[in-house]
Amino acid sequence: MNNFTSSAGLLEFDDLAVAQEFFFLQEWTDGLPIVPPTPGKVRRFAQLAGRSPLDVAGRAPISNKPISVEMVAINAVMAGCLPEHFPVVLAAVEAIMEPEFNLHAICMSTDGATIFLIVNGPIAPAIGMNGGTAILGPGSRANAAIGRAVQLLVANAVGRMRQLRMATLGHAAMYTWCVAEAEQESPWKPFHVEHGFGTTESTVAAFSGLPPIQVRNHVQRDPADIIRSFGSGLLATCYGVFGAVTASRGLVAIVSPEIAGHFGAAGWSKKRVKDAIASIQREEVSNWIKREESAGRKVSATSEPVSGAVRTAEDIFLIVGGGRAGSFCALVPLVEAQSGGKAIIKHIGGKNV
Amino acid sequence: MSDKAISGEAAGLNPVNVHCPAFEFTGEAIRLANRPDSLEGLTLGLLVNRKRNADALLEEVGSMLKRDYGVNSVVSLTKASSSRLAQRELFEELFNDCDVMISGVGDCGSSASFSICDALELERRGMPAAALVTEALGSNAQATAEVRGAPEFVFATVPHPIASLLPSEVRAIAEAVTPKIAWILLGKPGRSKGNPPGSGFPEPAKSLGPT
Repeated sequence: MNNFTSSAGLLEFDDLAVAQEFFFLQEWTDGLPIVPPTPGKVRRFAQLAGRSPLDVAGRAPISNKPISVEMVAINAVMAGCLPEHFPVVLAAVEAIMEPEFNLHAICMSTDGATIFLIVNGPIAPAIGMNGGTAILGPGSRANAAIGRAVQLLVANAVGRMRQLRMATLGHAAMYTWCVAEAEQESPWKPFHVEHGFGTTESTVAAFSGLPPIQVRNHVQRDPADIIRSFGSGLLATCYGVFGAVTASRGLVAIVSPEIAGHFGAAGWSKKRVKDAIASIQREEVSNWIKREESAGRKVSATSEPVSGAVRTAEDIFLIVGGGRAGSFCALVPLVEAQSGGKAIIKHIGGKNV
Repeated sequence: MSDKAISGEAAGLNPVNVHCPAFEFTGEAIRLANRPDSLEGLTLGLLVNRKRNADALLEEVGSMLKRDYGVNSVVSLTKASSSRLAQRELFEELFNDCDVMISGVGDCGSSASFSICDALELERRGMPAAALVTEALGSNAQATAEVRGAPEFVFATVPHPIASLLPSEVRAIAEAVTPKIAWILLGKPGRSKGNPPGSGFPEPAKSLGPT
């Protein structure tokens, strides 16, 4: 099946349509058509990002082969990126290459967690990213193509993904999952500023996320009441709670502007919100354990941490996002903890940033 | 319609060059370790990955290798996480204190892939290693070995799942898979009479499950 010469070599086809079918046959796509990566397009991407195509962007899991900027550009073209999207893609690749991200495990785990990217700073509006209505859905070319570029790059750099990927169910975000924070709708500092970057800097953060649990509260305005009402959702994020009550892995909460507005109007800091979320989740887990044990079912501690469960508020990462109408929150359980509450965030470089 | 109209260009064919988005087939090749003639008197290392029943299953296999194949002693080490490579100190300890090793049990995507990588890390250093994964993860284990540069690496499989097994069931599975593990460590069938001495690895099956 993989009987081609080298990644530096060019493949010749009669026609773009023939190239398209060949890419499907080689299992180089995610099942959807790709933009065939012609040399001119690939070269332009690297140029605009101010990088040599031969620079090393990271190392492939398992084989440890060096991934060149050119290879990232090839997959970015395939995904449908424009040149101005490429610096975000490169920074995202840098982020997922961090050992803490544990890309190898994410690629193959039966959990089906996948790469979740959050972009902040001036680049987001400049390239047409969406942080508003249907933030987790389709519509923005930048959101769709950047997330997809990273997914294609990983699959093609690892190779044999059809055999290696073991996600029992997986989720649709494995096609693409890249959002911008709705910074204008937030009563707090933007996410990247909260984590030590400058307001005028642009960044991308990478997380290993499971399908979000959506919670809502259209009735209450008091932050404590709102967060308490999310209790069953917070328990649901701890899906490993059956038999495990140990270390944490964390949570990303996407809070809609309506809810963020209630938090802001009540004068709650982001820290206070996160403390309350952690506290309610712990309470829910504790109550669940008590219910199980009083029914005679032993809840034994295992060495596998509980997905989504947090130790402290520092394991919760929070952004404002989504449409102006609707009091919803998306709780994204994480499978790999970002230790000490430190998110993996990379500065986005390049000529037009 | 003229001949020209139905030629390549008019038919919409435009020859094009495109880049290949992937690497060539394999990573850097790993040369598998030389095998001992027998397991008699050797020290067996177990690299346990914390998955439920992994410790019980590997320890049962260890006891059976002592009982049936003359292994002298068993050293059991547990790695920090099933979804990461074992810590460097554990590899050092295994390499320094043991003669052969078994890593396992990979019963999910990441744990299976890492059980293979752990075993290959010892093979790369010259120690015969067996990896144990459940049957459901066979394709992942095989692809991991190939991408890692060891397409000839043989691993053993047990029925899936193991997490819900009772101790008596764990013991039965261990009985069935121990001969296969001995075969992998020796590179040939074990002590059972009637099997001619062989060299190299069993062909053609890449994974050896209970028969």
